[in-house]
Amino acid sequence: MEIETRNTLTLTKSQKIEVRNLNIWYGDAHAIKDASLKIRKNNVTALIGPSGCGKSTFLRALNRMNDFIDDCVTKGSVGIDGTDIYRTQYTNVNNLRKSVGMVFQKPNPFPKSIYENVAYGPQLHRMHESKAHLDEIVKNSLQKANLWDEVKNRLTSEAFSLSGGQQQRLCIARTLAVDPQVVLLDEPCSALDPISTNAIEQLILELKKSYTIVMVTYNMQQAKRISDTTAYFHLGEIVEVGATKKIFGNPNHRSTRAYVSGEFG
Amino acid sequence: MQSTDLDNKITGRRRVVQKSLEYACYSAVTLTAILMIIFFATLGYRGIGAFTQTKIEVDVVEVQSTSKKSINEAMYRLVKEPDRTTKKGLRQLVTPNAYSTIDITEAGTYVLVAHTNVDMYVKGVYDKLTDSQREIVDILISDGKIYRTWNWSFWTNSDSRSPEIAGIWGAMVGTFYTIGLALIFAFPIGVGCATYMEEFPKKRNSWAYDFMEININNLAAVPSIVYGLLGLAVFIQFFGMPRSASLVGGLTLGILTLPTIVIACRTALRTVPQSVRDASNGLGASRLQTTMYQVLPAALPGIITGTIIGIARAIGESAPLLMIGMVAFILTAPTSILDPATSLPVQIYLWADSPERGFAEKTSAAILILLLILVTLNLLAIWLRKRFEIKWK
Repeated sequence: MEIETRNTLTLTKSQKIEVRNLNIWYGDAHAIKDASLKIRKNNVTALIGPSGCGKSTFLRALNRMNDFIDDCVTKGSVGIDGTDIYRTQYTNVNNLRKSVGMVFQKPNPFPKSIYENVAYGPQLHRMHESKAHLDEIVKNSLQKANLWDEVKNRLTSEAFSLSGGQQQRLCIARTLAVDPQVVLLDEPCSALDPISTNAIEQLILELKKSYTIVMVTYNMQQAKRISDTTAYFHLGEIVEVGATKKIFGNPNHRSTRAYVSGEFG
Repeated sequence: MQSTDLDNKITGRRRVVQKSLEYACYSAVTLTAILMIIFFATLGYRGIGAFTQTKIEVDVVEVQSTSKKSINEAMYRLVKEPDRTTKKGLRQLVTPNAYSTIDITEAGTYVLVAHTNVDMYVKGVYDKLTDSQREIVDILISDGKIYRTWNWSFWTNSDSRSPEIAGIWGAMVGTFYTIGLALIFAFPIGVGCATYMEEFPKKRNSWAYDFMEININNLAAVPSIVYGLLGLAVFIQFFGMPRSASLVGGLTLGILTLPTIVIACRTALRTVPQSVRDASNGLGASRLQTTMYQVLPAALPGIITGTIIGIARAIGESAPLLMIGMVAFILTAPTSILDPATSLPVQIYLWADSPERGFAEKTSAAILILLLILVTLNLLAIWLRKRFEIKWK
């Protein structure tokens, strides 16, 4: 069968997302120009680049969050496990967003209890068979996000009562609760202090064992510390993609070298 | 020295301008406060009398064939051998409706509502009593047979031609039906409309969207009597609904409240940050699920506060109700939404229009009650907002 033949190829087996010739416009502004990128399974892929270069737009294209922006036009293909989420009959966008979860720049818990925040996703998709099962999903998700020990005694208190770092981990737990395959992180640490940032970074390194992770980061040191692959964006184009060590050690492109050495950005 | 410059007081022209502005604002506030105090004091002074009622104790010795005759006979006993004129004066000490409310079947002491002239004399408002009447009333007062009590019937009676037994119950029930209907009608439509405009439009800059937006914002400023004409033309003329009924009043006030609710609801929806929608959508919720489970619950305190304020405006509205005939003279409280009814502000209008002096204090008292209801509703709105408002971080 087709899937089997695909699995025999080692390249495609380790490949989770393939973006080909992606072009995105906001009205007349051409935000992403002909971007192509292969994202490997169980890897952390970092998207770096100066602000306004289209990293976030690119990331949001991976689970069609750009659909909510009125004048956004997307052309090209984004294949996830070989299925083009833009062009084929893959019309159930809600299921797509379930399997490609997203964590945002600013911690954005719902104005509800900690428990309700995590339980919301499974409840939406009716993933639980009973209340006990739901409790278990919530517990597992919080454990995966390294938050369980801190909140297990106050699951019913308001999510806003948590610290910023805890809120962000709660958002990660909420994303993990719907059992995604890919987790997209949009500058997850930009609003956090160094200690919380470290906690999240450790968490990302753990998560990569079971999930494919794509993260946008403004912090180059962070990309260097935790990512396996790095893609450098400049003015809407992917200038260079490669192993993180190579991008930071010996980039091919002059502009990449200038950026990672801190000459601009 | 820079630091000493900063420490110096503002002097000269700047100081004069600043001080005079300060005093201008201060006197404006004081003036408003004084006017408010005068307003409430006048209302209170005029209306306080309506909360008490003058009563006459009557000893019935022999029961006559009708209650009216029994009462009249009992009154005649107050004076030794009264002549025709005195008898007439005695009869007119009690309210002309006394016999219809009390059924006299055995001898004993009965407490009857005094005639408005006696009531006004006792309250010291005016004196229209004849000399013989005044003499008897003074004696009865010193005997403790005429006295003032708390006026329950003001709360439990409906309108009447006689001010001494007129009450606000009928108008209260009418207001309750009308406003209840307005709420049932306007709240779902208003919230639905606002939700559609804020959460679901396909294109925000289409002419249809602009048209709706302009309409709603302008409708909120349309004079209320125009809504009355609309109600008359649409509900009564076109749909053939009964005149004077709280059904029509409710629908009319509902339309009147609709723009207020839509605007308040849209504002409340806008205060819900985009990040909440992103979070919910990012988990795979559909637009509808996001709206129903996250955005609307988060906006609910604001929506309810706005609705209460809209409803408070509708409660005080009389002009549209005049247009649809809710100025009916209601002797008993309406029992259904199809019965002729009136509302509190219209009752105030009717009483203010009556020539009898006794209605003057009723008017002030009814205004006080209406204001009390409005203040309570506004306080409730403030409390709800303070209690349930979400502080976004």
